[in-house]
Amino acid sequence: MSRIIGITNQKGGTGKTTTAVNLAASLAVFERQTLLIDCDPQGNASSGLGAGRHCLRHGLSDALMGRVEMGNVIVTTELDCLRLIPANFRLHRAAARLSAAPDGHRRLRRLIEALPQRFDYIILDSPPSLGLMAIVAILASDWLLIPTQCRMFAFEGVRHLLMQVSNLHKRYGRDIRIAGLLSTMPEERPGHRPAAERLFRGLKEDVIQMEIPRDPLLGDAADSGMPALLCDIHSPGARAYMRLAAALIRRNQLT
Amino acid sequence: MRITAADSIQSREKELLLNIIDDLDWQAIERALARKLPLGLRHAITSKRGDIVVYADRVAYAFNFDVNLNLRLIFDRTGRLLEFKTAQASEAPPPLDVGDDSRSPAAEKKAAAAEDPLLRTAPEQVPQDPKIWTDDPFATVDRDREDAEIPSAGTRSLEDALRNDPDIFEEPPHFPADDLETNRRRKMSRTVSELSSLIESINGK
Repeated sequence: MSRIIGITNQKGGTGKTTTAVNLAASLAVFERQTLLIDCDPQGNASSGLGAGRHCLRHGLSDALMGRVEMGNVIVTTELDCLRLIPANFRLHRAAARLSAAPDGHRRLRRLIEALPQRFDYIILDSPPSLGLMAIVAILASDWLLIPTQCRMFAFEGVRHLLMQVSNLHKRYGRDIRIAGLLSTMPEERPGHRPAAERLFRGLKEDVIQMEIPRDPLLGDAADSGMPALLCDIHSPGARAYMRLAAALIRRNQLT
Repeated sequence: MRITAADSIQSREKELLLNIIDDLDWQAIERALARKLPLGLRHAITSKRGDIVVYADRVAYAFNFDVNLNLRLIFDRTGRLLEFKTAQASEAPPPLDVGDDSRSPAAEKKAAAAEDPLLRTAPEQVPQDPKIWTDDPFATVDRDREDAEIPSAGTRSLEDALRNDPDIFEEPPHFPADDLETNRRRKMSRTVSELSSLIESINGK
């Protein structure tokens, strides 16, 4: 059974797409059949894997609007075990149609469940909002991984997100759990106890807690349209995502 | 009429006490212990119990710890030590080095007592309960007695104080303004606690 993990945070610039791309690539390197679904109309996850919008005929929007079968919009990537369902700006229109359709919020989940191919992991890259497309992505997920900076504004955003998740559970009866929190873009401030430590200390052991170090290669790799591990697998950022993938795999083996 | 859940208040108090423990100056406590007893602080310290108490008509925080011997610290809301007691003796508290190291402990204690009315009155002698307090500094407290009442030294519980004197918070003494960092850490701790609770409640469903 596929494990569906949504990478979500309503705030922009927290490292969602970077996490989605590099986590998916790391899982693929561990030879787990992985599908990355780009749910963000900006399409950055698609670009991050080299699938520019100009060379794609169909994307997630076409599957959501019923024009094409979901399985037919899957594209291959440079990694054998990694597939991609790309997004483009038309996803905005698809989201608007979903909002008018009954049960539109469940459509992505149903399409994923109906996929003919079997994947070990399905990673969803959510848009930076709590609009319909973000809600659809959250409702399609079994687990949520939340990248966040360790600053007050960021924590307040996470709190709001968690409250929304709780509301979604009550409203739609979906059992969505928090897989982990990632501290991204940590600041080096001598003499200050790292805020990430305080955050992680309060979490139980079954919630993944990891710090993703600042690494210029993560941005450079995205600019080049590839995951960081294909540029330099020894870079701190690439290694951090490999560790995250290993932690996820280890945890899933125990449950 | 209840306007909030009792466990909500209690869990917030618990968070407050845990956060205070995190921010204690352990180096100063270690120095005081080393002066008082001829052993280094090599052993794991575990907090046994914390409580908000009233000490000489002021709100204070009382914590009990295990350091392979019993240690009791009471300090006020400015962080000034009011009582420092080990299981071996019920003597007056040694001062903690929190600032100027050039003054002798006796001079510091005298200066502190001169300026702070809280310290002018010597605390009552702790009645020694032989079942809890032993002469052996390396004795660990029986875990079965973890919830046993530690004899108070001129303290009373906050509940009792509020019952008898509901204005206890009306005129707080003047405390120095918090610096930016302390305020930031406090807010951060509070928010982080909320996040942990939310995640627990989501994952627990």
